[in-house]
Amino acid sequence: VSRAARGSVLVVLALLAASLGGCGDEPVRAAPPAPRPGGDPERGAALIRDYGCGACHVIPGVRDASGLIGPPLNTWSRRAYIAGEVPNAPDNLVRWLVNPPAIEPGTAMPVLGLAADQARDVAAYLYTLR
Amino acid sequence: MKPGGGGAASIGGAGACAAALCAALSGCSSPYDVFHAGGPGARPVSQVIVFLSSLMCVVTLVMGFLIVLGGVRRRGTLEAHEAADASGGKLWILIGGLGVPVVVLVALFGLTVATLRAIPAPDPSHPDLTVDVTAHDWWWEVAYGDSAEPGQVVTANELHIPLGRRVRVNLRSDDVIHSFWVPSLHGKLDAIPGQVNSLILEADQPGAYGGQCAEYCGEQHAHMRFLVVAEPPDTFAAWRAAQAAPARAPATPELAAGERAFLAAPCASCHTVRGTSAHGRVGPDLTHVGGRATIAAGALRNRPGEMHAWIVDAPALKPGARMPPMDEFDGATLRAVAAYLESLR
Repeated sequence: VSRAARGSVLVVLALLAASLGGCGDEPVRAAPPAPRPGGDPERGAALIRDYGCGACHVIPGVRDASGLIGPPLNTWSRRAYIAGEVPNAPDNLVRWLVNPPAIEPGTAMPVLGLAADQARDVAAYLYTLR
Repeated sequence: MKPGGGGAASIGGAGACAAALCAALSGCSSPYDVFHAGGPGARPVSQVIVFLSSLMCVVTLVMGFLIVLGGVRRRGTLEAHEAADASGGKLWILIGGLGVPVVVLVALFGLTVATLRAIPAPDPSHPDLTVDVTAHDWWWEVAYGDSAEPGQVVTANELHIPLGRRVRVNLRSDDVIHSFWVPSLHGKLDAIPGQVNSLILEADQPGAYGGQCAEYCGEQHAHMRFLVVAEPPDTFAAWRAAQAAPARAPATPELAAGERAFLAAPCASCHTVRGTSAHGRVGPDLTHVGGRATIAAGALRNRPGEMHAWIVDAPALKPGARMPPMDEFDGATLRAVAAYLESLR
């Protein structure tokens, strides 16, 4: 058997292995562990209801949170950026929740009146959304 | 049927019923509470409802007991018993099926008639105060005083009344039949197009009482709520004076920008903000909207998040509501308009 024929057999086998091994639509890297902002997710969920976040956002696990005005917050812990501006890290998210226009001056998201510790609880809930 | 099975279910039902009644009577606070009257118009009604509910529980318990008794006495297989005596039950049917219900229903009829008579009638001669309430699809317009005289107050979805005063509510409708119902203060009264119906609202306990449209009036009937705030007369007088004042002028550049955007947008063709060029009469008067507890007739609480969302996409939050989506504002302008409205206290 010629070297070329042997080579093409190897290529075919490699492709077959790759397709069976399932590099397909699955994300290549596993989800990183969710950041831990240090707040209480349960209190956060209550605050999310209380401050009406669901009027603008779809938020899994929060009843009636089906707003389409802002982006949906499902799989929040896997998002890379907040408002396309700053990395999605706990301290940035807390700053964003307290005062969104300070980070993105043109945003439609208002200052909701959340205190920093309340924002930390809300962030804790959002990071449970994997 | 397995002996005792139905009995256990009945006992469970009776227990649940008793528990529900206890919960209602012990005052798990709800703004829509027929068990606890806040004034003389609702007291006779709440007494009837407490009596009826208690009676219902007694009947349920007695019936549950009889079912259990029947099950226990006929325990075992058919072979172990003689055939049931079909002739012996007539007295039970006569007393339990006819006699007791007739006595109970006649007594309840008498009680209901007496209760209706006990509710204060809307005597037109001597109200301490008159409020005009006009029902719209799907919100309530509230006016104190005549539009011809200065000091008229027009607001929405929120009545304030002084404690211990007889407040005559003149009820109208702008479109279809609605019903004005404040369970803790008065029974239901329909708002009928082309007619004025009146009732006397009087509260002797301070508080915020929930009201609700009680006649199906369309898609957002359930989101047609209002509040009745009963407060001491001097607090009420201060509230009324503040409401009569024109809108406060914008205090910051952002609020001024919000006012300009509000007046330039279609908002002003439907809403009034007294003291500005906004004179629309289609939607609620917004002169002091920032001081109200709710927006959209109780569909949303009056908080920044909800206010922003309501401005942008009212039809999504209250499908069928007449307010169109207002998606022409950029982010900063939206925040300015919402902040301006929140500042109108």
